[in-house]
Amino acid sequence: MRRILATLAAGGMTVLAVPLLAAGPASAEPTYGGFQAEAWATPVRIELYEPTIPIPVDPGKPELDFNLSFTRTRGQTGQLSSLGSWMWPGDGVGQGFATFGAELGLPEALTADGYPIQVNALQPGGNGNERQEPFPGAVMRAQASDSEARAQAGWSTAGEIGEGNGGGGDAPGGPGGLGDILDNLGGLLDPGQLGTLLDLPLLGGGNSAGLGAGLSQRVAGLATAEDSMPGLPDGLDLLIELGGMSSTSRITLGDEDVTSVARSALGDVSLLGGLIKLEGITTVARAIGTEGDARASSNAEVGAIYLAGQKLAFDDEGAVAGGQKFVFPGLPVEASDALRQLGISITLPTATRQVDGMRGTAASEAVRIEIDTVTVKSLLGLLPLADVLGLLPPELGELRTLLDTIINLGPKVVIRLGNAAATTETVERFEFDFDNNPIPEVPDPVDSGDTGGGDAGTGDGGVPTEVDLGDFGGAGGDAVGGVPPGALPDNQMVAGPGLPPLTTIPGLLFWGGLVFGGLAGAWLRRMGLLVLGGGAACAHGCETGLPDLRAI
Amino acid sequence: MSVPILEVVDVHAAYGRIEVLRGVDLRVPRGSVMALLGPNGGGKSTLLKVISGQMEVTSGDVHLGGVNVSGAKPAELARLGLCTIPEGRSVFPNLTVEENLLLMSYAGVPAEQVLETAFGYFPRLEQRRDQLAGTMSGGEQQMLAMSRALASDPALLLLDELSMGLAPLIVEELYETVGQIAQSGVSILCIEQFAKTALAVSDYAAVMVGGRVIASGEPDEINESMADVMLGGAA
Repeated sequence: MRRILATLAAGGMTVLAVPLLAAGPASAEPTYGGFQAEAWATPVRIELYEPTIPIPVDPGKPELDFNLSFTRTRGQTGQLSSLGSWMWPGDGVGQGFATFGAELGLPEALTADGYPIQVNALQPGGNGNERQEPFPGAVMRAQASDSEARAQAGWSTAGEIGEGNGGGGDAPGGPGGLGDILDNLGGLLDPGQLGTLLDLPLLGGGNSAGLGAGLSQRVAGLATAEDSMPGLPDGLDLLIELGGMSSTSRITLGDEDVTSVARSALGDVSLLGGLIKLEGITTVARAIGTEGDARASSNAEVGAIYLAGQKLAFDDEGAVAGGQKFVFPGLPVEASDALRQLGISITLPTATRQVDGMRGTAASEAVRIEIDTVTVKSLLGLLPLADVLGLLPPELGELRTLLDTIINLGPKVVIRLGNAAATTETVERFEFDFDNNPIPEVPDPVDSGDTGGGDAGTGDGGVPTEVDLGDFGGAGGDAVGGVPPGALPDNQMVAGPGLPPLTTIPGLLFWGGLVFGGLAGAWLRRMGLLVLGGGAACAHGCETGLPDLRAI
Repeated sequence: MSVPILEVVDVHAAYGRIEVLRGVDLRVPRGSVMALLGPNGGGKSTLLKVISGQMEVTSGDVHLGGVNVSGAKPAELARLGLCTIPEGRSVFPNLTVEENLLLMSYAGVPAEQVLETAFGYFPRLEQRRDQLAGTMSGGEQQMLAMSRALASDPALLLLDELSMGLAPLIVEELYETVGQIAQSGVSILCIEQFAKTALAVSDYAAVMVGGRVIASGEPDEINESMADVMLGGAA
């Protein structure tokens, strides 16, 4: 009895607890119905176009590509994922690494776990956080949660992979403004020195009440600020930081929008805690999907200089400083022509943004260098390379064959610096109005007896809650509940009458037919065996049975 | 010509899609010892499973005493007098020798007679009647297994690899007993890889290679041409 009571009590508590647990914390439903988003970035992408490389690719795609400090986040309704890699060899090789390893004869132990230089996060259904930071300055992180996917990869002496402000504006990630610089300088200067620095006219010291009011709080907090990133020893990374290259990709799910941001930075140099910061190439792509039209923005900058938070940038049209653009001489035409004769071309692609309804796409690429080795190869053809190879001794036949193959290749190499792309697409939320569109009930087959009457429907314009099948057969039947017979919902039209009741004549015929069929089949099988010889005792004339061997 | 106690006619059998027996024909005259020889993987043990009803044929027939027993269950065949001593002996290791033997009185043979028969063929077992079977040597366990088979009063005895894992001297001793059993009127089909020992006590012999019986005849004929037969059959 006690056991039964305990079981009932436990069951009751479970029943009470499950709805509470299932409800969880109250969360607002997003205004969009679903989404699909992707953001990826890589500071350096090297593409190799050589059809003789035995890797199947789509036309126009490179046979091989290498992406340094590559990050990518992907998401769709219900799942977010992120990937970070210091060197990503493209999806073909990266995701099919085990297959390529087997083809190349590599030991299975090396390739069984897939491409090793990557971190992945998946939510739900996988690891939500993975990182590899083997030594200070090398960061490879992937995170995924219910509301955000983030990937970071890069090389930096400070181990700082800047997020930039790609999520909040179009401008690339810079030093982060005066406040951040103050935070950094706090490690070098004591609060007294910092206060003196803030009085300098360059920083607008003393003239800003807001800055002065916030200064005391910020200076007080500087002493306890902790650097969460691995990097150089405290203090040294404030003097100089060689950013190397980095990229970040992020997808953020908000209540009203889905934002995907990709950012790549190459050649960051930071001096004096960010007071002077040089950025070689920075690109940002951002796409936001909302219930209305999507938004997309992208930007590519080359040679930006930040001085105390003020940006001085150079691009293909000139220089940008203090929000004003100045015409700047471009690359000399003579130099371009000289490079083109060698099969080398340098272009500064324009950033692209495209919005199509609720789909937004943005892409940035800063510098593209194309090297067509066919041109160089034609120049090499003037050289007696074949004669030189012919001088190799026969013992080096394999080497000669290899060299001969290499000099006959003519791949095209494309180096893309500063790559970032983001795509977001949302769909509208769909809600069915059950109040004004109730689902009609399936008709009861027992009511089908009235086949000839043709009762009139209610005719009040409402949707019926019960359908009388008699109306189907009645030539003079009016519309059922205001809905004409030809416009009945599908679920009513496919509803079948089911098996006939057992006690009716059709039922007896049905079940009797089944029994008769079974008996007839068994009889036919037996007769067939007899006719075809299968019913004989043994094909060799022996009896069939179980003999007593001891009596033989 | 008398009816053979065992006749296998064009038997095919397979494990899944792998056909192991590919038309086996074999006759064991009543009261004789037939040695079925052949290399490993030739299908000998599979044929034994088919004969004892442990495996269904895909085609062909098995006749016992001139009666087609295809489809009969192993237990039914055992009650009729067909007894199998499987490869690996399969004695109850945690029972004594006597308990192992008494378990075989299910066939209706009185317990005393079971023990008398066993100890008559293998006096060593009487010395160890209270010893746990699992603590005996391999040869002694094989003796016990044969004794258990004899306790069921078999008419046809199927021996699978009697010599497996045993010292040559023990094997010779066991085959001497096989010869004694045959003299009592029990028909025996013994599967063996070591041809010399089996042929010494056999009345007939057959060689099985690749799922077929490729040669059969008197033991001397088979002994002389064993190498040629097996190599030729394998080729």
